[in-house]
Amino acid sequence: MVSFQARLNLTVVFLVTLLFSGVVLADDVAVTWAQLTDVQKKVLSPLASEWDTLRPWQREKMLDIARDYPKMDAAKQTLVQKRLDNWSRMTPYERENARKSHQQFQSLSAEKKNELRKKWTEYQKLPESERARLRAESPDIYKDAD
Amino acid sequence: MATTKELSDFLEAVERRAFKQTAYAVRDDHAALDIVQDAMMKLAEKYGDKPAAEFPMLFQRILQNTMRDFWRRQKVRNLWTTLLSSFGSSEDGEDRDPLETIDVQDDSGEPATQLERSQTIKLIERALEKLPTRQREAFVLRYWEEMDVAETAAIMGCSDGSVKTHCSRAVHALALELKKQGLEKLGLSNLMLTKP
Amino acid sequence: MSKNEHMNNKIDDSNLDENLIADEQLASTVAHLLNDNAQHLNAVTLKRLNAGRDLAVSQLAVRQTQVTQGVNRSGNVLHWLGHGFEQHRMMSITVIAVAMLLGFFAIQQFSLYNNLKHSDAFLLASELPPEAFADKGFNTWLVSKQD
Repeated sequence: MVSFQARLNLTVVFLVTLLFSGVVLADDVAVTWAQLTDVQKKVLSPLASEWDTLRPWQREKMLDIARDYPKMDAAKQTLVQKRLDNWSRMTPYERENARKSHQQFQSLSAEKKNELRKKWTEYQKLPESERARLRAESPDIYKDAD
Repeated sequence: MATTKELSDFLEAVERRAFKQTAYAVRDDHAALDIVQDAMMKLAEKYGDKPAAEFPMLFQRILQNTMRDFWRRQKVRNLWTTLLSSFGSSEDGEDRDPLETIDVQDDSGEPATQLERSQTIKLIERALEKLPTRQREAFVLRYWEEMDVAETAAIMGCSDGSVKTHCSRAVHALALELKKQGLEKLGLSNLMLTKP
Repeated sequence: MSKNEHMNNKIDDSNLDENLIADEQLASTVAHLLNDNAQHLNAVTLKRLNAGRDLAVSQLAVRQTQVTQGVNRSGNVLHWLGHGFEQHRMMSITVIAVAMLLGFFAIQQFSLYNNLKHSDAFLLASELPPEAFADKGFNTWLVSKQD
């Protein structure tokens, strides 16, 4: 029979291991580019030149991306790097919209997603004037928005 | 941490005007009810641990977000079909939707006053619905919900300056529209709608 | 500018202020009227609002019960740690407290893994670029194609 002491030790060891298996360090959002770790710098390299000019909320969100980046496969990582720049230029409002649309997108079937990919290519072929008109028509666009 | 009584009291106090505010925004009473019920649930689920004093602001923000979600899920109907459907008869010979007959219950009992009152309200409601979304939001939050500029900015997700701009435009547009309808002399007599 | 023109400008400015004040008062009155009107809803609507409120309140009640029950559940750990608990009381209590804290952090870690799907990084790595998700024109265009 396992002694009480042993069981106690086991509990502590188990939980401490859990803790150290993935400690999330609090992000200091005022961190400068120089203060980033090498890993973070590698992920966020597209933003290197403008990092110090980004607002704290922008930097915080970028650090979240850097944190999740290692969890992805190489193909996904390439995509993240490619799109990071555009993402950083979007306003919080646009990004919030994107998050909500993305959530809906995720619930679609694989073939629907594929279809949408083709539609996106098609849409991009439309002249900019046409796309601007469509944007203005959208019911949830705030015409006098910020 | 809020108590269930605090939540219940708060919701009871806010639910009617929340419904009307949402109805003005989405122009669909059924959807407005769904949105308000949704918002009530979200408040309980996500913010039940907050002090009750924060409820007014939290609830308004939840309402706004839920309304935006509604717009996104909606198919885009062009204005024409919307107009047509509001004049159309009910489908399949069903009884008229009880929600279509929003009566104005009246306390004074005087037919003439009642008529004038409901006409006035209809004109006001129409003027409100004509406002651009952001202006209407700012007006509702500042003048109806009586939030201050900072709270309104937080709920609307914009700057203090924008709130002031939206507000002044809203106020100006409303005044213009109501003057056009001959309601510029809205005075205290019209305030006596309900018994104390 | 002549003296008269100055005077007229002053009058115009004060008229402007008066107009602003009058408009503001109108806005207040309008809000007041709308609020009063909102009290008068039909029975069906009121019933549904009531129902929504009751549901939300019972949901909060359930959550608050769960919180208190959670505390009781951790007491079961004491059984596994065994009979030695009474004897090594102080140390055991400390260990339980630390265990709960660590357990809390552990849960946070797991939920973070779950949140990966909803993270910005995942969004950026998706089949469509972020501009596609943010472009309202694209959404409008898609919907118009459906009709």
